[in-house]
Amino acid sequence: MNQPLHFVPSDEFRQRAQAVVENPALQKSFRGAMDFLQTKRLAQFPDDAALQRLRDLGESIRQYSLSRLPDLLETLEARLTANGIQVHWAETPEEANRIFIDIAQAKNARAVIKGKSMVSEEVELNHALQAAGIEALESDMGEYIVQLADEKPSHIIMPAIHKTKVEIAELFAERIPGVDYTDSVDELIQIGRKVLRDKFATADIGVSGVNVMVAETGTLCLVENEGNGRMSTTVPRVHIAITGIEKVVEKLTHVPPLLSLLTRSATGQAITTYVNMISSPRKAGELDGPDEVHLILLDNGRTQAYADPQLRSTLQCIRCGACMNHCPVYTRIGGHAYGTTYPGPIGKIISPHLLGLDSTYALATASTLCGACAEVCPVRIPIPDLLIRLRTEAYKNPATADEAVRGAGSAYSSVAMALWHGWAATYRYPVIYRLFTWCATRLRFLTPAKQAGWTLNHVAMKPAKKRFRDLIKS
Amino acid sequence: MSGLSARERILTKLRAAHATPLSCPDAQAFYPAAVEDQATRVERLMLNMKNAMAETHRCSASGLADCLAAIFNEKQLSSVAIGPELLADETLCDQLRSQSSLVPVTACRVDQPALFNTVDAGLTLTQGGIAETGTLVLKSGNESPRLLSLVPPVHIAILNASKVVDTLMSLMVKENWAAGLPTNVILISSPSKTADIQQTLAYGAHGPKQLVVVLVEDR
Repeated sequence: MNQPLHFVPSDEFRQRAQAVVENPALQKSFRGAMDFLQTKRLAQFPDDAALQRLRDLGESIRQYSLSRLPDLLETLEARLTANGIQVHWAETPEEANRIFIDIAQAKNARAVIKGKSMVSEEVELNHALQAAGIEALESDMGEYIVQLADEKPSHIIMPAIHKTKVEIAELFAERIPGVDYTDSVDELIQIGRKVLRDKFATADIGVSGVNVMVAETGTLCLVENEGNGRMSTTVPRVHIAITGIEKVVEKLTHVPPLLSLLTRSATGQAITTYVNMISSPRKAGELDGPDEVHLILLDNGRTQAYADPQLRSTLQCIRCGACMNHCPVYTRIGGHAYGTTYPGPIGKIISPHLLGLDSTYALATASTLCGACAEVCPVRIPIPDLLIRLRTEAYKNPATADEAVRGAGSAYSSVAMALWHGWAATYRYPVIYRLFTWCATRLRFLTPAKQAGWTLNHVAMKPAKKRFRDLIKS
Repeated sequence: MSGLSARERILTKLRAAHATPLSCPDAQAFYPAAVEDQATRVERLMLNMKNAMAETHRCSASGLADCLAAIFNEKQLSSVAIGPELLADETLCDQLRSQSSLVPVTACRVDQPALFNTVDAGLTLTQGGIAETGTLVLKSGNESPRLLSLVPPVHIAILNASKVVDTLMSLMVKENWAAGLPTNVILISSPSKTADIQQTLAYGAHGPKQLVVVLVEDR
């Protein structure tokens, strides 16, 4: 098995989360951003009954598409190929990066300009390209900022959400030659625009993600606000799109409800500035557009989620980010603490399939199961149920664990399991229960003053002087 | 499965799940038939576009040249790029040339540097409008370059009032898009924008800073 790309030890997750919780500036920044996104989303759905009907439709479209996934992928491939788009399949991030590099080298490409793509983050494309001597530049403003700062996106829709404009102003002044400090957002955006314009005009290859693929017409749909996605997919001679195998629907008529759910749930927009539907490379006689269009279909653990009927619903996701915008945990610890490409509730349920449960099980425990994510999910993914399932998988005995999830049983502890069995027996058998409570009340002076994590924020627990049953009797 | 290609390995794993095929949802049924008249629909589109910071103008077919010339003049556009779709209309072009110089985009990649560096605006036709979201529909083709609506700082789009429909769904169905799509279909609903810096909205991120819609009413 390949070594996961981002190995995130669970104890460091706690430390990272703790550091954010103790940082008032970040707390304020995330709280403000999440309030903003929640309010904007809510304004888009004034009629709750209509929203629920649309969610039902979105859910049924995604479930239907997944139920026929292998067929739809074959139809999609045939259709795209007939349209002149070259289709590649990658089982692992390494394979995906290899395909990119092979295409780039065949074209003698030096520079790649990228539209926003979380799947390209997932395979760490930028590093792979740089290692092969190819410049990879992000062009989405948020991604550009994050790349300039040598960081990773902290949100799947708004990558630089953790940064204030003052930090961005300092970053631009420090890292972009000839730029003076300005904290005017308009001026900062114009600086970014100017730098990136030249790159669009000269890049050899444009890279993008895909929001929805349509099997019946062989169409790649992309949504965006800035125009960098259109630039990346129109100006360079070669366009390479990369996405997960789950992002396919059968019919074009399945696209409008999904796009509507996506943009309204994500940023509270009825529609994004641009919806870009690509069905072929430039045809003879057309005056612009790439001569070649490639699509890379990535597995990277998605087939594992697919194999299990319950875990399959993870793949319904349309990546709107509403679950993280409404998550009390995400709001407090931010995107970076998770250490995975996809943070927040969706990250907790998809990352174990991408990276293995052994390196990600702590993520599933960082939830109160409040259910806010499932309440807003536009395609009704039962995220809390999936979190419970992943916890169960992580903590069960590896000797008897099936292979539903790679790394199952990695959090198993025989001592902890024996304690739980003892606890269960105590409650099952009245004799043991009475003996236990009798002992507990008499030996209460033995309870330690410090009780692991509990006493960090709470008063120490101590058994009562008298059992409840004795209190009633007296 | 080591001898197999990635494609075969992925498809084999997916097929091994034996997912039960569900019945295909009828998304079309979700969208009720239109009840409003064309004029109301057009008003809705124009209002939505205006609210999305697009600049809106109206004129008759015969008044189009004057309307465009006035926009060119008001915005001080000294050079405006146009594609074959509008170059064919010689009378219109002649009238526009009296106001600004027209930069024809007729050769693949040759005209690109001008678009990036010197042109003030791109002028295009549109193939439809969507009232629900205030959206322009542009289809690529030999006559309609894709970069005109993207690269110059101003995009001026001519929309025929009769081409305004209710929803994206109704347009797809009416024109039978499922039978096949052009190379590129673009839906445009505002000037290029971003809120990537501290959720503050800024226009002219990578595409046009201004979107000007000229509605041609067929009276």
